Amino acid sequence: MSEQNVLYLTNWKLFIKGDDRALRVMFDALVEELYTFGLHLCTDEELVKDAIQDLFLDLTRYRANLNPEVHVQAYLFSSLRRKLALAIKRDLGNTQLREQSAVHMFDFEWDPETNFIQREEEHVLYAKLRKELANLSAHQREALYLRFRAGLSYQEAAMVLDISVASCRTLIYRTVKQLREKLEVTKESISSILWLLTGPSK
Amino acid sequence: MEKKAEDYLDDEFNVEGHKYHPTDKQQWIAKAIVSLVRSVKGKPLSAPEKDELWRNVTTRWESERPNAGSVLGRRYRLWGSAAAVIIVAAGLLLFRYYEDHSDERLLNHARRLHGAGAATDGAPLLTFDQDATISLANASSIRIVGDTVETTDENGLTIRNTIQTRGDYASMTVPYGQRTTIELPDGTRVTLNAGSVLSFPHRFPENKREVSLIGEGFFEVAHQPDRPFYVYSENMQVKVLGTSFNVSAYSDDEEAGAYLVEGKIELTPMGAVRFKPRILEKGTVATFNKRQGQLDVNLNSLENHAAWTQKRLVIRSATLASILRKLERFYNVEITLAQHRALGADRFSGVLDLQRPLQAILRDILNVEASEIKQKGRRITIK
Repeated sequence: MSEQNVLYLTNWKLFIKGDDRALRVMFDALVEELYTFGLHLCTDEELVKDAIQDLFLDLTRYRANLNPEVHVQAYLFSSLRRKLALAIKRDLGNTQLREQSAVHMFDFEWDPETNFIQREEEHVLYAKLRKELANLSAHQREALYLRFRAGLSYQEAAMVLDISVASCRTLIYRTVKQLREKLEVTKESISSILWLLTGPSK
Repeated sequence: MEKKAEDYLDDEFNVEGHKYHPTDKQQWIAKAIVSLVRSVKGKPLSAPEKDELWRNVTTRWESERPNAGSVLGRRYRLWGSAAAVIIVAAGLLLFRYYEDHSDERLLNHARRLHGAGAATDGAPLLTFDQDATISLANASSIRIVGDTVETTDENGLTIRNTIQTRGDYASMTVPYGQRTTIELPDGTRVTLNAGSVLSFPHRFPENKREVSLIGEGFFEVAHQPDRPFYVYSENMQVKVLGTSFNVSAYSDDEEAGAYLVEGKIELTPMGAVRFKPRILEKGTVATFNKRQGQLDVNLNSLENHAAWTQKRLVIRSATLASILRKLERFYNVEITLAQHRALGADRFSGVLDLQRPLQAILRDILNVEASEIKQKGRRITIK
């Protein structure tokens, strides 16, 4: 279990036992990740904030009945996901909102300067990879996000996605494979850049 | 068979980038995928947004909490019976207030003490975080000067106690049936009405003075233009630009208000409450109706909202229910109005002399012939 997870779980247990402060610790540690995750599921910022607020209030309401042995981050992610799904469903029933549907396809966006790419050749490859990431399904992107960005284990990511651990593992494996093949196969030039980049193994 | 990118990433322990050999093509792809997914843009939550979110959670949390801290309450009552000035050592009062913001932190401090029942019974108490509590049963005035608490009893005898605390905050708790005046370290005098809790840092920082209040207090603020004075309460924040004013912020009242006697104050909303910030001039009264969520500002120099400091209660078009609640606090009693008496909603105006016995006051308000007033200990029933 990662250091982060130990911290979450320690505070989770403290909170259940009656330590109010522990909730604040968890809030501080996780609110940004929850918000970012939430905005990938739903574009409405206020809706996401409301859901996060609700999520933490639920913890205070059901405090005594919370399971002390959970994957805290995964638990919060999956609760948020469920809350947002309900909220979106509710809003979709509302005709006014149907046009500006709040459903997000888990699109990936990057700031222009995020990846510290030094070599000119790598830019081409990264650009290609971004394009292929955009071609994935929302489900695939979400799985990659949970695993690599949120740092969840297969078991935790599976819990959030509400699928079995085996399916989750296969999903991520196949998605990476798909990306890799696209990168290798498509254009001769890219493959050769990759070759140039890494050089022949000695 | 050659290990592919997906094989590298399938390994639970290989996610961290540093484990890769950058010259391997498959590892390069694996690393590129991870670093791209990891650098996906998120919309950052600004510090104020984060604070607001947390504040919304705590406000609702507090309001839903049934009888917060009743265990602490029992402890207080035990202490209340001690009539002398006592300093009790650490550890008995465990408060948790780790919020970053001094306003919330101060207010939570007052909430905890208030919720703990500290304001309902016994003698006035001065509490320094979890380290020490001073019972002020016989004190007629209290001053905090530097690290010393000076209490003077009715005979003019002054006792000085050195504050020994690791914490930053002090709280003055006034039970029902009593009033207390305290002089804060900056020379500001606050008269606290029955059932109130005032929390403040026992050493004010150089740039500002902040206190929080649940209940009612009359403030005579020491004039220090470059060191603004703030009062935080459940629904409003008062920033003092001038000198003396009254703040009423009882949690069981329908209305919260500020009345300005001299100078200028600025009112801004607190917590989940929304209203436009207002500057109050001399002689104006601002009333915030909690149910309607509305702030009304009136020029009303006739009504003296601070009359209670002179043991008078000035009533202007107030419901019987709200008058009875004020009397309950002042006399520390419980008044029950029989239900068939539909008087609760009737409105009254007048001045009540709070130095007279409660029964006499009640007879003044109610129609004597039609009412039967029964008292049993602290319980009063009106039929």
